[in-house]
Amino acid sequence: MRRASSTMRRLRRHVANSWAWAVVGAFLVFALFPVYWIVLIAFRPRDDIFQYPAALMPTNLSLDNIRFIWFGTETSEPIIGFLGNSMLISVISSLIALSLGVACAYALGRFRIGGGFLPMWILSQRFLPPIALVVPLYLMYRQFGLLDTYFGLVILYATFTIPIVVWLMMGYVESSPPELEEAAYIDGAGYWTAFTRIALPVLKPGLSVAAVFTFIFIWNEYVLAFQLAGDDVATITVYLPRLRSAVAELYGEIAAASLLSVIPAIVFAGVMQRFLVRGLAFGGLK
Amino acid sequence: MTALSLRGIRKSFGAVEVIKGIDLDIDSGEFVVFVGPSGCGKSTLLRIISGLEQATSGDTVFDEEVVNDHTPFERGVAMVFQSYALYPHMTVAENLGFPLKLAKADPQEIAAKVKAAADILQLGPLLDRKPDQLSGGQKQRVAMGRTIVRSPRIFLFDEPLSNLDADLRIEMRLEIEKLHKRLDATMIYVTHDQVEAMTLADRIVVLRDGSVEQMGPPLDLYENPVNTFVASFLGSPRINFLNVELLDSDASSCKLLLADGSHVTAPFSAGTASVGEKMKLGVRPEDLSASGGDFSIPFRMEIHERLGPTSYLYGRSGADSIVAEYRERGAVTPATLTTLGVNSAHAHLFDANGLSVRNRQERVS
Repeated sequence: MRRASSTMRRLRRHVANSWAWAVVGAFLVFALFPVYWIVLIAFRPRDDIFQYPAALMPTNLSLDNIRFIWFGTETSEPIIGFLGNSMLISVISSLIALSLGVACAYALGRFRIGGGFLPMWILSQRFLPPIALVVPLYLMYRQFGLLDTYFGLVILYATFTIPIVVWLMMGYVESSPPELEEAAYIDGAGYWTAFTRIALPVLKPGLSVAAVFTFIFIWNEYVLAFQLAGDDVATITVYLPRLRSAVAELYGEIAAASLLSVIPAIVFAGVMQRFLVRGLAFGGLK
Repeated sequence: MTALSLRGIRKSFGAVEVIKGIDLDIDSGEFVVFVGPSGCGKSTLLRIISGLEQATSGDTVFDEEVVNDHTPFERGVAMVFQSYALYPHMTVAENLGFPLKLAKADPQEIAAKVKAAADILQLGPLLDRKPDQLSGGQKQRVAMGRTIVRSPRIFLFDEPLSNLDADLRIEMRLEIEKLHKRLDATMIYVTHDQVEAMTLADRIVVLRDGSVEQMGPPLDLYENPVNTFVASFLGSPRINFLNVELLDSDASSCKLLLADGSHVTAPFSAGTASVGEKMKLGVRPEDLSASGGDFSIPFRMEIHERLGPTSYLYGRSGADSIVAEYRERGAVTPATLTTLGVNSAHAHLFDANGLSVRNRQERVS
C-alpha cells in the first residue's frame, strides 16, 4: 500500500517535471530560435540565405560574411573600430557610474542622507524615456562641442546609469550589517577606510550585478548614440544599421556583425557571474 | 582607580528618550555587567561608552579625561558584537591583525601579536580560514581575539553569547571569565541573561527603561533587591510573590494576612508601611521547604519536576503561583504536601509600589 502510494507520488512528480521541462523547452525554442537563425545566416553563403523555402539546418558553411565584417571593404569600415569605441565608452562610463553610484548608495543607505525623498528624486531621473531628451541634448552638445566625442558619450551614459546603480546598491547596503563598519571604526578605521576596506568588499556581489546592468545597458544603447555620435566615436549599435543600404540587402553581413557585437556582452556577463556566486557564500555574521 | 565615569548620560532618538540620566563609576579591572530586559537601553549605553553613539547630554570620562568627542579608536575601546562582525573577506589572521595593520604596525609585530592572541584562545589551526568556514563558537573566539591584540583600555561585550547554543554558552562564559582574570582588564558586558550576569560580574547594573534600578555585587542584588523588578530579574526559577495585607507591624516582626485568610507572623519589620496596606511577600524557591521554616504558607501542588538531586515543585498558594525547590529524594504528592515552610531571613516584603520595605527603611533613615 505504502509502496503503491510512493510509486504514485514519484509518477506524479515525474509528470509535473515533464510539464515543467515542456514549458521551459518551448520557451527556450521561442527565445533562442532567432539567435540560432542569426548564427545560421552569418555562416551561410549569399545564395543560401535567399533560398526558398529556407533550410532550418546548416547547409554550406562560409566565412565570407565574417571576413567582410572583420576586414571591411571600400564602402564599409572594419567592425573592430566600432567594437573598440563601444568597449571604451561602456567600460569607462560603467566605471564612473559604479564608483559614484555605490558611494552615493552607501551614503543614502547607511547614513540616511536626504531622508526618503532623495533616493526617489535620483530614481526619477530615469522616468523620462531617453528619446524625449534627444533634441535638447543635441542642441546642448552642439553648443558645448561635445557632439561626436568620447567625453560627450561617457558623461551621458554615466549620468544615465548612476540612478540604476544607486537604487540597486542601496538595497545591498541596507541589507548588509552596519556592525562590520562599526567594528572597523573601533579597530581604528575612519569612514573612508571602513567604506573601502570593509563595506566595498562585502558589497562586491551587488557591485557585479550593477556592473552587468550598466555595461549591457550602455553596450546596447542606440537612440542617444545615433544622434550624438558621429563618425569619430560611432558605437557598434550605430554601425549595425548602416549595413542596410539602398543598393544591397547585406543580410549575411548584418548577421555576422550582430554575432560579433553580442560576444563581448556575453563574455562580460559570464565573468561577472563568477563573482556573483562567490559573493553569495560570504558569512562573517552569525 | 576609576577607569570610566558616566555623568548624567542622556540619550534620545527623536522624541523618545532611551537613556534617562545615568551616573556610574567603573573601577579599573572591574567586570561590570549591564543587565535588563530588551529595550531597557543597555546596548545603547554600551554604544555611548564605545563612542559609536553620541550621548544627547552628559559626559563620558575615561581615566579622568572627558572623551565625549573622541572616536572609538581614540578612546581605546575594543568591542565584541552580538553578531561577531568578523570581516567576511579576510582570514582569521587578517581579522585579528586588522587593527594593528590600520595602526601601521610592523608586519613582524602584527604576526607576533596575532600569534599571541591565537595562542590564548586556541585559534592557531584556524588562522588561514575565512569566517564562513568557522563554527559559531570559533567565530566567537576570533571576535574576542580581535579585541585582545589591541590591548585596549576597556573591553566591551554586547550580548556576545546570545547566538550560541547552551553548552557553548557555558564554555565561552568560562572563557571570558578566564580572559578577565588573565588580562586583569576593565570589562563591561551587556546581557539580558541573568545567569551570565550573576556568574561573570564583579558588579551588576540592572537597567529598566533607561534608568539604573540598582547596582552592586551580584549576591548583594540577589539578597537585597530594592524592588520587585530587580528581585524577579535575578534568580532562576524566579522569586515567588505572595499577595499579602499588613495587619500589624512593630520593630522586629509583622503580621501578614495571606490570600487564603490565614495569618502569619514574620520575624522582620514592615518598616514604614501602614496597617491595611496591600503588599507582596517575595520568597525565592530555595527559601521554601517542605518542612521547617519560620512560618508556613498553604500550598496546592500541581507538578513535581525532577532534575536529579534537586527538583522543583510547581503549584499555587491561594491565587499566587509558586515554585519551590525540593531537596529531598522521596516522592511527594499533593496529598502529603499541603504547606510550605518559609525561611524568613531571606524573605522580602515589598510595598504597593513594588519597593522593598528594607530599602524604604534605609531611605527614610
